[in-house]
Amino acid sequence: MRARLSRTPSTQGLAIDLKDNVFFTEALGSAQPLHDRELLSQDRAPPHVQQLAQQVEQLRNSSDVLYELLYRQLYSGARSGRLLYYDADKRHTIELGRNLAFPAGVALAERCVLVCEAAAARLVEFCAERPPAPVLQALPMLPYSIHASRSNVGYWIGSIGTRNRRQAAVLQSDWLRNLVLAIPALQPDTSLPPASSIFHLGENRTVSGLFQSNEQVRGITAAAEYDNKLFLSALGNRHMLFFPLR
Amino acid sequence: MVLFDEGAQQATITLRSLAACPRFSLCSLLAARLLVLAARCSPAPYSLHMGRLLLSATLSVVLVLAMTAQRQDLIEGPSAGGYTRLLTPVMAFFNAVPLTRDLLPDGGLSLAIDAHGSVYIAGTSGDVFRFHDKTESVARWATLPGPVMGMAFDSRGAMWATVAGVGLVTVSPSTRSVRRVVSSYNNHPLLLPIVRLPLAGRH
Repeated sequence: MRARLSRTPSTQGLAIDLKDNVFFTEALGSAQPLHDRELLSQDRAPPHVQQLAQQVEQLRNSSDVLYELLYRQLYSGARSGRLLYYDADKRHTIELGRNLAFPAGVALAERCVLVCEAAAARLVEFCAERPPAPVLQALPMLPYSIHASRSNVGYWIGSIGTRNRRQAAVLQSDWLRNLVLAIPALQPDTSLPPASSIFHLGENRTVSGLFQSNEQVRGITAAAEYDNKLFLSALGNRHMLFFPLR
Repeated sequence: MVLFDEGAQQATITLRSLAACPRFSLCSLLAARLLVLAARCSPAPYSLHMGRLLLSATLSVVLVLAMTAQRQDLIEGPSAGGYTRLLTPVMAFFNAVPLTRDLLPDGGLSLAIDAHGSVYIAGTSGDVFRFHDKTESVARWATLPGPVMGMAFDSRGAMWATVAGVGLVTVSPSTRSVRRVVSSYNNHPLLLPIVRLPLAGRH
């Protein structure tokens, strides 16, 4: 039996510059966890989620392996994501970068754009004068969001989970991912970890702190700072979270 | 909406230092010591000799694996001569406190803060909730046509959002009406459903 994840794009992160131009990313799949069976079975789910739920249910009898994998978390590790730019004056969109591995987060720096490649566990910088270059790579987590610090001294980067070598290897390769889907014993653990981490990236592109959450926070999708508080949203939490920075 | 406020001020951050490379050092020292011991052994019966050889080979493999293992607590960053591996300087643990009651039945996907300090949070349902930090009140602010993956505000206070399966939209700050701005690029639609399962692709 062979199976493969489909290739359907979805817009992800965005950032706006001082001229109201918009930088946003497109990625295949979604890191949205499909663990809430009650939500999927009820009418309050969005139409496309309901459609997805129906298709997932059709797989229940034919492939338990694929069903369980898709039910938990869906995203593509292939380098098929893009960084796009919307010119607010000319009202048109251009492509700034491609071959990105699930670029989920975007932030602006001086003459540069920072992009979180969640599936590649790295942070890439797109600058006007030079080709894209990784700022941080081989991160111990899957970076999902990046927000400029309110005090303009760096960025907060949130992760949806930790990376393990087997998961990273599977996510990097289409054929390996298909192989894993076909062999139950090789399945990666795609469930959300019990804790997630965030870290602060300074202006000089160095990591000034790594923070590990308690077990109640699962899969941080955004971390934004205001008034010495860090507000969080997370995939595994139904409410807004925060913790004081000082 | 009533807030959880108890325990908010009791949130603590406990710092601890990250141990520096214990596994590498320990494996290296152990393997080196045992290899030296095996080499110093006097001539012995064939079975004992083979046992020592096997032990040495095993420890060598362990050493190689330990040295080539990918450290989960290392971060690679730029240095003057290229990329180098850096130990994360500090590991801190924090207790995040719930600030609101259950707003998002399927978890939060995105969060943004406007110029006035209001915090917006959204999830897969498309509902966007606004939280006033000063008044500690929260209310549904707008409903977008799909899972809200990202949010940001422009200079005029309008919200921009990336919506899965839809594209790039704006929300008027006054009327809160939603307008789709970008839904395709080079005839490549951004408005497809998030996932289409490959039922026809399996064989």
